[in-house]
Amino acid sequence: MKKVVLGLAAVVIVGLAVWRHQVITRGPATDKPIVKIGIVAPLSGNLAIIGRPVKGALEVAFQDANARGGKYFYQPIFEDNQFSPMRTATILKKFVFVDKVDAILSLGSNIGLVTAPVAEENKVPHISLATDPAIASGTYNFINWTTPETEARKAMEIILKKGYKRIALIVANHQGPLAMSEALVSKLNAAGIVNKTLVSNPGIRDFRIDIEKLKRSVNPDLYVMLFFDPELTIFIKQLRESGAKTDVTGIETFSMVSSDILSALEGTWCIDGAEADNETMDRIKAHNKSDATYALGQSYDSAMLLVKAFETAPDKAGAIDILAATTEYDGIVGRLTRKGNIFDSEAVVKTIRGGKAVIGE
Amino acid sequence: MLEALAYKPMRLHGASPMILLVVSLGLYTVFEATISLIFGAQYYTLGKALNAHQINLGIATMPVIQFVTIILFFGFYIGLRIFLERTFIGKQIRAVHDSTTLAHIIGMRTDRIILIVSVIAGAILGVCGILIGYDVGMEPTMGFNWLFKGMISAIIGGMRNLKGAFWGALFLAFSENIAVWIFASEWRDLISFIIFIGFLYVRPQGIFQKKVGF
Repeated sequence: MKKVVLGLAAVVIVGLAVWRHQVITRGPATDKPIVKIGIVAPLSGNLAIIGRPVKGALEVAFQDANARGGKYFYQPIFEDNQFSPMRTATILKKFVFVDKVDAILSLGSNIGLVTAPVAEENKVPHISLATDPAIASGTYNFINWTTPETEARKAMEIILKKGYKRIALIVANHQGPLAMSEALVSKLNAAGIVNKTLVSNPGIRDFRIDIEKLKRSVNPDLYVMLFFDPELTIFIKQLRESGAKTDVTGIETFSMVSSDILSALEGTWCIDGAEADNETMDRIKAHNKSDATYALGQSYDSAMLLVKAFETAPDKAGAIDILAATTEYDGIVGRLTRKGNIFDSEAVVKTIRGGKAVIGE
Repeated sequence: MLEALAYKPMRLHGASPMILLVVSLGLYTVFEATISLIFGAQYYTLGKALNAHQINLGIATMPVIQFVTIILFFGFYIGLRIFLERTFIGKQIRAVHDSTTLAHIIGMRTDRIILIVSVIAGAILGVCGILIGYDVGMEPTMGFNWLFKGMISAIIGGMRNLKGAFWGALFLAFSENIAVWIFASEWRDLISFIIFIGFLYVRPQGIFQKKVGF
């Protein structure tokens, strides 16, 4: 009896595996050659608040591309990495050896850094929605994001306008925030503004002593948060609970907050990467059934950059040459200007209104 | 429930403490994954975004939840000591703790005593989890870190010793926070490990436990 049950279980497992394999390998119903785009993003976990809307924006982008009726049919393949480089490494193997993708889109600096060598080795064009310029190395790796330099310049405009004199930077020990803090600190030093950087590892849940140390050392009149959630929420909560009413701002971080802590920062300014505010973004919002905007314009534009490259090139392998020859691209976030392998775009100033970061001072 | 459904049947089948430890780790993983599936893997805070009510103690100002935590820390310790030393069940618990076999031979219902201890431990841990949820927030994967700190506290103070766990926890908390004051917050866990390893080398029996010779 035991053997029969075990045999049946084995048959069911093998059947499910075969069925799953067929579902994965079966392509969409189209006569056109297919271009597969592997997309690795956090679709669950703390950063799903960014990853899920990005997935929606890319779905809209590839629907638009397919509706235009070009040479190829574009098939996005989404995989959830929970923002973990380790999971990403496994997903990349699947993309390259199982799905045989023609291009990769990644989200986040730590993820882009894992993806870049794989893309280069396997000659797969890769666009990363990330900050760290180290990703844009070699021939096949590109970044489409507002550069730290551009965002730091925008932040400095506001800092000088508001007359802040002592600034604390709270920085997550991740490539993106570190690159951002480096750009901002060099500008603060050049302007003679006192500043102190606190770099903290993910997973820290108690910042109360750090807050007290910062108060006693530089007594900041502005805290610049280069932190992700949940540490961002915890830091702000503990800062306010310590009695400090000091201004707090974020560069590319307030749009990622999943808690209601922003309601305690009403009227606060912050900086974000380029954003779209047009009909395409309205369609993306309607598709996502959400008001989230962070990284969506750049996601859409990255997909369209790839589509343009594949459509213009004589064959799939030539897409990388078209991408490499693109110096400017008018996307939905505005004009993208290529500097090296980085497509830069203008930063935006936002203000917290009704617990959300919205464009405008 | 775990005691009744998992640990007791295993003990009856002669499972060693090591097997029970492995089972508990397995159950921990199952619960963590189940919570992630039901509530999502993200971070949550209990109550309002900000604990606006502060208590001024003269030398320090702190949110109400931290004040409650400190009061309960001392309250649980004093309550447990009174319970263990002054009540009949408490004395039975100590007897089972000293020798389960002997307690069973003289007619104590050892399974019932173990069940009572499990219920008390679960209730205290539940309260601790809620306090952490209000103070710094909670997420499905937070358990292991707190479990590990608890283990280190118990080892520092001396295993199988309530007074040891209490003073061990205080020692660890003060050491961690002094280290954060001197260095930075990412040193917090490193200090715990250094203290842990140091105690294992220098005084493995802990502060309050006498060395057992062979």
